[in-house]
Amino acid sequence: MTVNVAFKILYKEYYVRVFGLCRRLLNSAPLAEDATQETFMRAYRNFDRYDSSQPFWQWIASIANNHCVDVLRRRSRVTRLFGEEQQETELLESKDKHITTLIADVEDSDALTSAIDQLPDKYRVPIVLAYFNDRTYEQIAEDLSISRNHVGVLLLRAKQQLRTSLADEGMREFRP
Amino acid sequence: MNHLTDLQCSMYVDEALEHADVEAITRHLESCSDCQTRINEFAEEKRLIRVALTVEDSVVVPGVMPEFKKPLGLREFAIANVVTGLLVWLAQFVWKALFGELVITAFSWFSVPVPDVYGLVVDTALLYFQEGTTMIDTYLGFIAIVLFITTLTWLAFFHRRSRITLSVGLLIVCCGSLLTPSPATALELKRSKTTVSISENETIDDTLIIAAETVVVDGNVNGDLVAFGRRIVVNGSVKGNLLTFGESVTVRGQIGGSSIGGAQTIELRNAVVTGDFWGAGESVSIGPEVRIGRNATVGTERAIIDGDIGRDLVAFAETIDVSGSIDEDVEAFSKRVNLLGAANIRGNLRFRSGDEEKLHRSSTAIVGGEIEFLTMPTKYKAENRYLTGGFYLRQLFRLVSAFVFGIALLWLVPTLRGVTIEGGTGGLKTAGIGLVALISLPTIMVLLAITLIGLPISVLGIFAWIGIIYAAKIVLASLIGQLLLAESTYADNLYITLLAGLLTVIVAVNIPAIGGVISFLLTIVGIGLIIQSILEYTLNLDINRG
Repeated sequence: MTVNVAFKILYKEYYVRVFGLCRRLLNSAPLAEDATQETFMRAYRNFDRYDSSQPFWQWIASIANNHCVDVLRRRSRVTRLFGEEQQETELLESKDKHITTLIADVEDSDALTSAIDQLPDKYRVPIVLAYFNDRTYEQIAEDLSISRNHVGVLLLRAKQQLRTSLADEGMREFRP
Repeated sequence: MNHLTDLQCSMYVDEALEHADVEAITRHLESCSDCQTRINEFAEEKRLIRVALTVEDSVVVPGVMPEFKKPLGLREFAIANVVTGLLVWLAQFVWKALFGELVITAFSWFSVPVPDVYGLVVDTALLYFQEGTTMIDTYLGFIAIVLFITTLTWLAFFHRRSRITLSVGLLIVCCGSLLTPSPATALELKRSKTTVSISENETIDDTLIIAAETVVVDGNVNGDLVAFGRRIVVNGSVKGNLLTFGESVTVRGQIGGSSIGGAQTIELRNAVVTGDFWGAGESVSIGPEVRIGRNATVGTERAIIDGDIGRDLVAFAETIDVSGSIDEDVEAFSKRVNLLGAANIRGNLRFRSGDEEKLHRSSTAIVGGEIEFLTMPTKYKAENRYLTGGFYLRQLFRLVSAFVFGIALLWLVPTLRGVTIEGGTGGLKTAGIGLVALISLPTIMVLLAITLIGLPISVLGIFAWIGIIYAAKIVLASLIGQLLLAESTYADNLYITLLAGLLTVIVAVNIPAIGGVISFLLTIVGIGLIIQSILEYTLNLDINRG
C-alpha cells in the first residue's frame, strides 16, 4: 500500500476528530476547516517522520495544537496570548472567589458548551487541551510555551469564569 | 495543614501535583470533610466539562468532508513547470511545423535538388537573425507569462504560509524577467534584408553583430565583429575577434584578435590577424600581404597560402599551394602539396601521404627543417581500451552524469524509487515488457511520423524513448543499490544507494565480451520496471478515484 492510499484512509478516519479539536481551539468553524486542512497537509509532508509505534491521534493532534495556537497568536493583538502568570494568579485570588453556583448545579450541558465557546482564547485553549485532548500540564506548558504552574492557574481561572457566566445565565433565566 | 486552595483542588483533580503534595493532601482530606467536598465538586466539574466538550462532535462537522488536497511541494511545482514547458514547446512546434514550413517544404523537397549548403545555412541564419530576436522574445515572454500565471494560481490556491516567501520570490523573478529589456546593452545588432555597411569614419564601441545579404564594414569596431551574410567584406579594423559566416568572405582590415570564418570562399587580402586564423570553406586563400600572428588552421578543398604565418600551418585540403612564409611547422593532411617558388617554411613539413610524388617542390622553395612523409595507418591498431586513460575518464563522466540525472529523476518521480523486481518468472515478465517496449515504441513512432499530423507526437515519442532507455539503467541501478545496501545503515540514503548501484552497473557493462549482453539485459529490465511502475501508478489513480 502506498503512502498515498494509507494517508487517505487516515484522513477519512481522523478528519472529524481533528476538525473538532481545531474548532474548539479556534472557536470558529470556517477557521477550523482551514486549520484541519493545514494540519493534514503538514502531517502528509512529514509523514516519514511519524513513528508508527505511537498512536496516530497523538501525533496529528499535536500538529493541530501547534498550528491552532500559532493561528491564535497571530490573530491576537496582545503580545502574550496567555497573559502574565503573576497577573493571572492575582486575578485568581481577587475575583469570584466564592461563587456559590457550581458548574455541577447547571443541568443543561448546552449552556456549558456555549459558556466554553465564549471563554477568551487564553482560558479556552488550556481547557480544550486538558479535557478534550487529554494533554498533561507538562505537554500544555510546552505547547503554549508557558510555565507548568501558569497552566494550572489558567485552568482554574477558566473554571471560575465558567462558573460566573453560568451563574449569570441562571439568574437571567429565572428573571421573567 | 491549612485548608486547600482552589488551585490545589483543581490541580489535585487534574493529577498535576507533585508526589509529595499529593500525599500531604490525601492525608489532609482524610480528616477534613470540607475540603473533601470541594475536591468532589472539582472532580464533577471536570467530568461535566469533558462531557460538554465531547458532546457536539457530530453536530459541528460540516456535512461534506472536503477532499484532501495534497500539498503542492517544490517537487510538484517543478513537475508542473516542466510539463508546462513541454506543452508550450509542443504547441509552438505543432503550430510552426504544421502551418509554417512543413506543409510548404514537404512539397518542395521532392522537386528541388539539394540546395547549395552554404546558401542554405546563410538563408537559415538570415531568417533567424531577421526574425529570431522577436521569435525568442515572444517565446521567453510567453514562458514568463506562463510561469507568472502558474505562480499566481499556486499562490491563490495552494499557498501555505511556509512557502509564501518562495512564491513571492518566484513572482518577483517572473515579473522581473517580463520587464527587463532584451540584453542589448553592450551589443549592437544590425539587421537588413539588403545591405548593412559601416562607413569609413564610423566607429562602433561595442560588439557588433550584423546579419544582412551584403555586409560591408569599412569603419572600426572596438569589440568583436560577428557577421552573417551572403557577401561579407571587412575593410576596417576590428579590435576583438572576427567571426564570419557567409558565401563569400573577404577580409582586408586589421583584426586584433582571432579570425574564424566559414564560407564558400574566404579570402584574406592585405589583412593582419594578430591571433589565430581558422577558416573552413571550399576555397581559402591567404593573400601575399597578409600576416597572421599565430597559427593558421584551414579546412578546404583548395588552400592558397601566400602570406606570412607566425607559427604553424595546419591544413586539411585537397590541394595546398604555399608560396608564403611559415615561421614554424606545416602539418598537411592533403592529397597534394605544392611548395611554390617563394615558399619558406622555417620548421618541419609533415605531409600525411606515403606518396612522395604528391609533393611538388620548386627549386627555390625553402624548408628549414625536415620533410616527413607519414602514411595514414590503413587500420588503427586495436587498442586495449582498458589501458587508456580516456576510457576511465569516459566512465567517470558517465557515472557523474548518470548520478546527477538519476538524483533529479528519482526526486521528481519518487515512485521509481519504490520499484521492486520479482524473482523467477516475475523478473522474466519485467524483462519481456521491457523488450516489447524497446522494440515497439520506435516502430509506433515511425508509423506515426509517416502521417503529417503525427510528426510532432512522434518526435516527442522518440525523445521519450531515448529518455527511457537512458533512465532504464539508472532506475535499475537504484534498485540494485538498495538491494546491495539493504542490510546497512545507508539503505534509505538515496545518494549512496544510487551511487553504489551505478558503480556496479558501470563495472558490469564494461566486462569484456559479455558487457554488451549485460548492458542490453539491464536496459530491457530497467525499461520493464519503469513501464510497470507507470502502469501501477495509473492503476492506483483509478482505484483512488473509484
